[in-house]
Amino acid sequence: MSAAQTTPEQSTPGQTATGRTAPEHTAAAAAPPPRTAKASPAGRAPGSGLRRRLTGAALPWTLLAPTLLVLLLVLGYPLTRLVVLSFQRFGQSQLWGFQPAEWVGFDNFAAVLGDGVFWSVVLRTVLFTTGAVVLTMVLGMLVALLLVRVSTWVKTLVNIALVASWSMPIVVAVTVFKWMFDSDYGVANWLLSRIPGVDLTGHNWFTNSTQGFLVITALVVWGAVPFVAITLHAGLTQVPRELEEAARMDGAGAAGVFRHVTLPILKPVVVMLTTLSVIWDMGVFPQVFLMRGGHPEPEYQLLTTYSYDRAFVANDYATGSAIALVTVLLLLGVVAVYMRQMLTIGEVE
Amino acid sequence: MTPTAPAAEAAPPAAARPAPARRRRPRGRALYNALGVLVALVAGFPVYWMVNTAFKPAKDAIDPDPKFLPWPMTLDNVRRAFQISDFWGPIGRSLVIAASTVGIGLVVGLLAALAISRFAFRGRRAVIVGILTVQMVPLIAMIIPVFLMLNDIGQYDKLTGIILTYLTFILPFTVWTLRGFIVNIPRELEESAMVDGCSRTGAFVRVVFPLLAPGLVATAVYGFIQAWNEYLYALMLLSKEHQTAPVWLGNFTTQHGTEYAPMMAGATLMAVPVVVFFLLVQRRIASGLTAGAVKG
Amino acid sequence: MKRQLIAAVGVAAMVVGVAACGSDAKGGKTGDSAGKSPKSITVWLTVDAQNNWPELVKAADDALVAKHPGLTVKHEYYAWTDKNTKLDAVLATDKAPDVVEMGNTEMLPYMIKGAFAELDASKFENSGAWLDGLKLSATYQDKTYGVPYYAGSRVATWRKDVAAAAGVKDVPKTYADLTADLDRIQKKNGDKFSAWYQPSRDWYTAMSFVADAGGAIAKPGSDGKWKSSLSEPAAVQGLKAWKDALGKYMHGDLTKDEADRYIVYGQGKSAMIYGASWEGGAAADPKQDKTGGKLKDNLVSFVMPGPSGKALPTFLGGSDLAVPVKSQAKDLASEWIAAFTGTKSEEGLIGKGNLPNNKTQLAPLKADPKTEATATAAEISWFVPTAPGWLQVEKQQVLQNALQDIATGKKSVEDAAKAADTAIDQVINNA
Repeated sequence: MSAAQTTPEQSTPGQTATGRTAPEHTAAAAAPPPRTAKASPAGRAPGSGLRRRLTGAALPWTLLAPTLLVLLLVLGYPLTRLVVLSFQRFGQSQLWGFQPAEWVGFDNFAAVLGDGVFWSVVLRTVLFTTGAVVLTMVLGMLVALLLVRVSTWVKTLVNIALVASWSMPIVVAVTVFKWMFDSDYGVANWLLSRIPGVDLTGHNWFTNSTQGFLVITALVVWGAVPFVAITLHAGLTQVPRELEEAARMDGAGAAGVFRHVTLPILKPVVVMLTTLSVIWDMGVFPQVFLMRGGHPEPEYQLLTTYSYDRAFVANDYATGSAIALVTVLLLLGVVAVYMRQMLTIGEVE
Repeated sequence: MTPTAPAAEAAPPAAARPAPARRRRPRGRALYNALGVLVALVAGFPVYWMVNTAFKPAKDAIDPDPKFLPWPMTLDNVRRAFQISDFWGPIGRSLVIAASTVGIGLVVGLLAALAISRFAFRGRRAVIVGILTVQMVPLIAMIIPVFLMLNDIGQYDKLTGIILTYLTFILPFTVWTLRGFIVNIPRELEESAMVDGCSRTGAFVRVVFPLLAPGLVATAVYGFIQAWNEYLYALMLLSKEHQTAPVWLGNFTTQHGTEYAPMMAGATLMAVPVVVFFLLVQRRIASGLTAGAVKG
Repeated sequence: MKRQLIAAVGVAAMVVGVAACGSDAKGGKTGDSAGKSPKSITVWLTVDAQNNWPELVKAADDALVAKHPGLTVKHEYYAWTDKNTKLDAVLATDKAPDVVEMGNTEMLPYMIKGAFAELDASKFENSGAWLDGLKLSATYQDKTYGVPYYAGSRVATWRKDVAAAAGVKDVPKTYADLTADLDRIQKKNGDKFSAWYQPSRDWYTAMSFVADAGGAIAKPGSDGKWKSSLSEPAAVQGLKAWKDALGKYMHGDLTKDEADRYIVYGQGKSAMIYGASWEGGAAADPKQDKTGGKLKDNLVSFVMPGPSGKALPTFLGGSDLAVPVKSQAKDLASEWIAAFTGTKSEEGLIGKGNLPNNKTQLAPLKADPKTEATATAAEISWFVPTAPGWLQVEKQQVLQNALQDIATGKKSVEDAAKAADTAIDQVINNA
C-alpha cells in the first residue's frame, strides 16, 4: 500500500498536533501523552483546504523538516565551513575579525600531508583504533556468549557491573583510571606487585607511550564492551533455538554452530557495532586529552588531539581544519562497507 | 499499555518480547558462572575503586598499601569536593541540557523516522544516505566551525546553543533506531484501529506508540548518556560561568592534581544519577537497541 | 512501576527544559543592555589568585562597587595552561572578558595583533616605578597595553627537620654544599624519597641551569630574526647539570610539571623544592600538609646556588593585567585594575610571598629576613626571548616535552636539544 493513499485523510492533524507541540513533549519519551490525542480533533477541524496542500510528498518532508534543519544548521553548514577554512590562512587575527581570511589553495594540505609527524599520528591512530575495536568486539562477543550460559543470578551480577561501567561518564572514568594507574598510590601497581617476581612499586605507566596506550586502550575497551556485550546478548536471545539445534544434530560442534548459524544471524548487529566502534574509537578524545593532563605529549597524539592541538594550541585553525577533513575522509573510507549494508537494510521494505 | 483491543492481540516487535528461557542445562554451568563472576569483578572494579576512594580518609587514599574497604568511613571528601567549586550549578546545567536534548531529539527524531519508514516519496533514499553519512562525521573534527557558527548566530555560551549541537549528535542514531521499530509494526494494525473509528493520529497514538516504547527508552538513554558525558564541546562552547558537570570534573583534575580522594567523591556524585537511571531501565535498552538493527 | 518512574523522569525533564529556556531568554536581555551602561564586568585571573589571595580580589571588587553601586564583578579562574586557549576563542565573540591576567611572557603576540586596548599608565599607582621587566612586557611601540600585577622569583625551600635528621645544619651556600647536603639527605631517606622534588616539565628551573652555564634558549640574529640555541655547548652543559641533579634527587613522577608541586611537597615525601616563593607556604597550609603539621615550623628558604659558583639565575616571572580591545566596559576594567594593583593590594601580594610590581615597594624587602631570599634572588635573573613567536613555543610545550624526554631517558641531552631547536625555529619568528 502506498503512503500517498492514506496521507491526505489524516495529514493535517498529524502535522499540527505533533509538529507544533514538539519541544514541549519531552514526556513523550516515556508514555503516550494524552495531549496529542486531545489536540488532534481540534487540529483536524479547519477543513480540507490545508489537507490538500500537504498531499503527496509534502507530509513526509514536513515530518523530516525539523531533523533536516538541525542537521543542516549544525552539521551541514559547519562542514562547509570546515572545507572553506582548510583552504585559507586562518589564525588568531582572522578569528578575532581583525584581518580578513586569505585563500591559500592547497597549501595547508600540502603542509599537513608533507609532514612526517602527521603520518606517524595517522599510523598511531590506525593502530590504536584497530586494537581497541578488535578487543572490544571480541571481548564483547565473549561476554555476550557467556551471558546466555550462566545462571540467572550471575547474569544479573554481570549486567549490573556492565551497566555501571557503561554509564560512567567518560570524564569520571578517565579520572578513575588515572587514579588507579597513579605511579605512587595507584592500586594497579600494588595489585600487580602482588604477583611473584613483579615489582611495579612507583612504576610510571606513562613514561613509555606504548605502556601508556595500554592503559588508554584498557580504559576505552572497558567503557565500550558493555554496550557491545549487552546489545549482542539481546541479539543472541533472538537466534531461533531450532536452528542451532538442527545444526547440532547435523554434527556441528559449538564453534561450528557459532560460525554457521549464530554469526550469520547476528551479522547486521555485528556490522553495526563494529562500525560504531570504529567511529567512536577513532574519535577518542577526552580519554587521551585528560589522561595526559590536557596536553598530550607528541607520542600520545591521535588525529583528534592533533587537530585540536594545531587549531587551538598553535592557533592555526586552518591546518587544524585540514587535519580534521583528512580524518573525515579516512573514516568515510573505512565505513563505506557499513553504509552499503545499512542501505540494503533501508531498501528492504 | 493503552487499553486498545488491537494492540493486545497484535504481536509486538520481537525484540520487545522477553526471550524464551533456556531450560536445558549445559554442562559446565559452574565454570561459566565462575567466569561470569570474574567478568563482573573486572568490569565493576573501577567503579568500586572510585566509591571506595571517595569514602575513605584522604590520608588512607595515599597510603602505599591500599585499603580495600572505606573504613573508617568519612564524608570529608564529599565536603571538600563541594567546597572546591560550585557543584550544583554544573550538575543542574548538565541535567537541563541532557533532558532537553533527549526530549527534543525524541520528538524530532520520531517524526523523521515516521517519514522515512511509513512514506514512499522521492528523495527518501537521499535522505537515508544523508542521515547515515552524518553519523560518520567525527564530531571532534567539527568543533572549530561549530564554534564559529554558534558564535555567528549568537549562541556561543548559551545552553540553547549546546543543546542544538548535542541534538545533531543524537539525531541520526535516534532516527535510525526508531525507524527499525516502526517498520516492524504491521501497517494492518493501524488500519484496523482506523476501521474501529480512530483517526490516523489516534491510531498512531493508541496503537503504534505503545509498541515504540522500548525503542524510545533505548534512544532516550543513548541520548542522555551522550549529552551528559560530552566534554569537549561543553569545554569550548561554554564559559566557566556555564560549565557542565564533566567540565567541572575536568578542571578539578588539572588544578588539584593529586587530591584524588575528593576528586573521586566528585566523580561518584556525578556518576550516581546516571548509574541508577541506567539500572532502572536497562532491560528496555537492550531490546531497544537490537530491534533497530536485527529486525531491520 | 518502572513505566511510572520513566514517565516521571520524562515530565521532570520537560519542566526543567522549559525552565531553562525561560532563564536563557532573560540572560540574553541583560546582555543586550550591557552595551550601554555596564552592569557587570568580568575578570579573568589565574588560579593563583583563587587559591592564594582571594581576599585581595575581594577588596578590589569592593572598592569598585563602592564607587559604582549596583555593579557586579564576575570572576573566572583558569589554570595557566588552559587560559589562552579559552581566551583566543572568546576574543572571537562578544563575550570577551573585561580584564585578563597575562603572564609576562604571553603579552607580545596579543599586543602585536591588537587584541588589547591601550591603557593610560598615569591612572595607576606607582606606574613611574614599575619593575623594568614587567613594564617592558606590557609595552609595545611605546604604548602601554597592560599593567604589571606582581612578579615572582624562585627560591629553594627545604625542611630543616629532614636536613637535621641527615646531619645537615645550615642551608647551603654553594652548589657543592648543596649537592653534598642533598646526597646525605637522599641516602638517609632511601630511594622512595626525593631529596629534591623537581618535576621534569618545570622548564623554568631547567632554563635557569642553562642561563647559569652561559647558554640561552634563543638568540636574535643580526637580521633581527631569532634562532634557537639550546644545542649550543653552553646550553647543553647547563641541561646536563640539571639532568644530573634530577637523576640523583628526583624520585617522583617524571612526567609532571610544576602545577601541583606544592601539593606533592605537602605530602612529605621530599626535602626540598625550587620554585616560586609562595609554594612553600602553600604546601604548609593545613589543607595540603599531610605530614601532620611538620612543614609549618621547618621550612627555610634560601637563594639557590648554581653550578657556576654564582646564585642560580632565576626566571623573573610575573603577571600583567590587560583589557581586551573587545571589552564593553574598558573604563570600569581599568578602574578595577587600578584598585587591584594599588600600593595596599601590592602589600598584600608581598605578604603572600610575591614581589611587588614596583621598585619603591621592592627596596625594603631585601632587609627583611622573611623576604630576603626572594628579593635577592630577583637580582640575578633571566627572561624568555622577546620574540614574536615565543608564546607558541610555550603553548606547544616544546621545552616541557624535550625536558621530559631527557628526564625519562628517552633522548640524550644533545638529541633532545637539537629536536627542540628545530621545533622552536619553526615558530619563534611568527607572531
